[in-house]
Amino acid sequence: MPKTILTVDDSISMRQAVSFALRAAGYEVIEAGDGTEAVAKLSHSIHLVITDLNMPKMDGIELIKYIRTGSTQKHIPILMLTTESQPAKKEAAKAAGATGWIVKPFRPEQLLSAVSRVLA
Amino acid sequence: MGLSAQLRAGRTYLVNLFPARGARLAVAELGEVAAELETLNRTTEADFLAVGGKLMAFLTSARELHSGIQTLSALVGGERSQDACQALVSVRGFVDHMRQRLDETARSLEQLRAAAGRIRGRFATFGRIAMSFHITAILARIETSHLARSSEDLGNLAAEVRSSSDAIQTRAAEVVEAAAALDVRVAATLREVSRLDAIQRSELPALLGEVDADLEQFRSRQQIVAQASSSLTAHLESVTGELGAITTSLQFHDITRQQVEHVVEALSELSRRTNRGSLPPGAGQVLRVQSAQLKSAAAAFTRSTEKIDQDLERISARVEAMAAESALILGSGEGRQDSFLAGMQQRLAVILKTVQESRACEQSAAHTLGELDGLSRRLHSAIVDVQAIEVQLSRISINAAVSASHVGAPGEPLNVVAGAVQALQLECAAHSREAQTDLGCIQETMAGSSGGSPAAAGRSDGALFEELNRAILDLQAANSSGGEMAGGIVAQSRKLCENLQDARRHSGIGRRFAETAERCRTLLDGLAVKSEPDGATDSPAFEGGFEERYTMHVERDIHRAVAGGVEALEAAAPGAEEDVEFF
Repeated sequence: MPKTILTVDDSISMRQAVSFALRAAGYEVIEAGDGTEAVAKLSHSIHLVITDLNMPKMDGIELIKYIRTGSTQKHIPILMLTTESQPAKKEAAKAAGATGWIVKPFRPEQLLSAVSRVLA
Repeated sequence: MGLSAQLRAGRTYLVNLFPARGARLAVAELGEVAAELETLNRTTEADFLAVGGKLMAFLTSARELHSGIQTLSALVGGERSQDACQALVSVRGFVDHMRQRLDETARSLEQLRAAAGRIRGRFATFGRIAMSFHITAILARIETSHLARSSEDLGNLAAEVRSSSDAIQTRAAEVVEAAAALDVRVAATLREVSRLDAIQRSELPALLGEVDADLEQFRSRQQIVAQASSSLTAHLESVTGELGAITTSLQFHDITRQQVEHVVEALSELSRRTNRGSLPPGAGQVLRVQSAQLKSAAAAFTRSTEKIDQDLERISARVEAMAAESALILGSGEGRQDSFLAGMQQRLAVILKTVQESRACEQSAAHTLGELDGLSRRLHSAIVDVQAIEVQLSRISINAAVSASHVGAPGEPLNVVAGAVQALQLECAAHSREAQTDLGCIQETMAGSSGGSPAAAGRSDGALFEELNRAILDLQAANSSGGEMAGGIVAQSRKLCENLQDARRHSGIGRRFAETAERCRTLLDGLAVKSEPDGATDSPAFEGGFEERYTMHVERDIHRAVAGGVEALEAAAPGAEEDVEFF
């Protein structure tokens, strides 16, 4: 049974890139355009969340905090996929409960390696 | 000089002529640049989405193409074709063996026919002997009537001779009739064998030659299939890798989009802070930073679109190569009806027909042999009966001779008759012995034929028949599905190539982006120069706020470089190890 991954990004082209890399490797992918949409789509069938940081309505860090405190999927692995360079933002993500941090642009094999590691 | 260039030249003239108006014009220019950059972001997104949206479809089609071609490969180089060609290899040996058996069958039948003919001849002779016996019986009656007054008991000599000869004649007639009927049947079987042999001698050598050519072609095709399969696998791996590379390139749209958005924000902020027609202090440096950001974004965007175009071109070439490989494997070009598999199937069908005819002929021969078995038993029985009668006749003749000697001189004629009976009996015995010898030949020949020849290559006819039949059915199914599959593969590869060509039509966006960015940069650089008539200053326009906007690595690096007065850095290549961190 393939694992399902929720990818969250306000950029359609970025969601396409992530979805392609994951689907090509055999994962099922659900897409969300921001944090609020991700909250609505979060369920027990999802095994991993990959989220951007800077998004409208609910950004990545707010999403992580919600998942870790306000959802039934508190322990789900969450990878931050972002162009962000500021160390403070990385620390904030870590403090909120992110599992890992990947800088854009990514190579597909890099992303898949990280996904395999957190899903193992 | 184009219209926009003329407008810009006019604006520059006015700025220099009327400084206040120049400031308003500067704001207008900033607004114009911002608007153009916003439009640029919108239009380029549509083009990138067009490519990105097709990625999965490309990969799925390439995988289906590969899967279809692998299935085709299995048809030609896999178990079915192997079995069919093994059947061809076996057939050659079987056909040779089958011809041997036909030859043996023909020889056996000829021998049997000859022996049966000889027996028929011998038993036909018994008719003449029987006539002689009849005459002797008449003479015996005459003499016994002459000697009726004697005291010697002569018994019923004439009647006994007559009945014995009648019995011999009857048995002989039965045998002659049966042998004649069998001769007709054997002759018919021999004609069929001869016909089949003639056909096989004329057709089979050429057919077997074609079988050898089929096998040779199959072996070379196996090599082609093996090479094509590994080549196809390599193509698919490359396609997957190139699609993955496109994934990386596509991300630059999002990155450059953000860079452009931040430039628009900065220009809007600059416009808001323009006071009484003057750009704020340090605006020149801000404008230089934005110009450098645009230059970086344009370079990254152009690189990524060129890379995408190159990757799509490579993928397109690989897909065409995969489609060409599939045509090689199937062994047919576009538009041809015949294929390698169809040829093999036809030859197997002809060979199977020949095998069927040979089997039918052998069955007919076996049936004939069965009838011969019945005949030989009848012959044996007839010979035994005749020999028993011969014994009786010998006794009769001896008794008659003894009686004649008792009678004395009057009995001499009777003695002569007895001697004639004896002579005929001896002649009859000689023929019956020869008939018995011929019967022995028949029985030996039948024993040799019914023992059977060794089965072809250790397998029964029935098993090879089934094998050939199965191979033909398998090849029919393979040919049919292979043809459909090849058609599907060709259509799919065409569609994939069309999609790829369609995606490549968007490749002009890189040039458009670069042109727009260059145009905007020219305006911004010009504004920067005008805002610092006394030369560049070090003070930033916005204290403690601007750098915070540059959250991306590339933005941060460019800002620092420009602020430090050095050439802006190119963005680092993606995928460095430090770009992934686990908490």
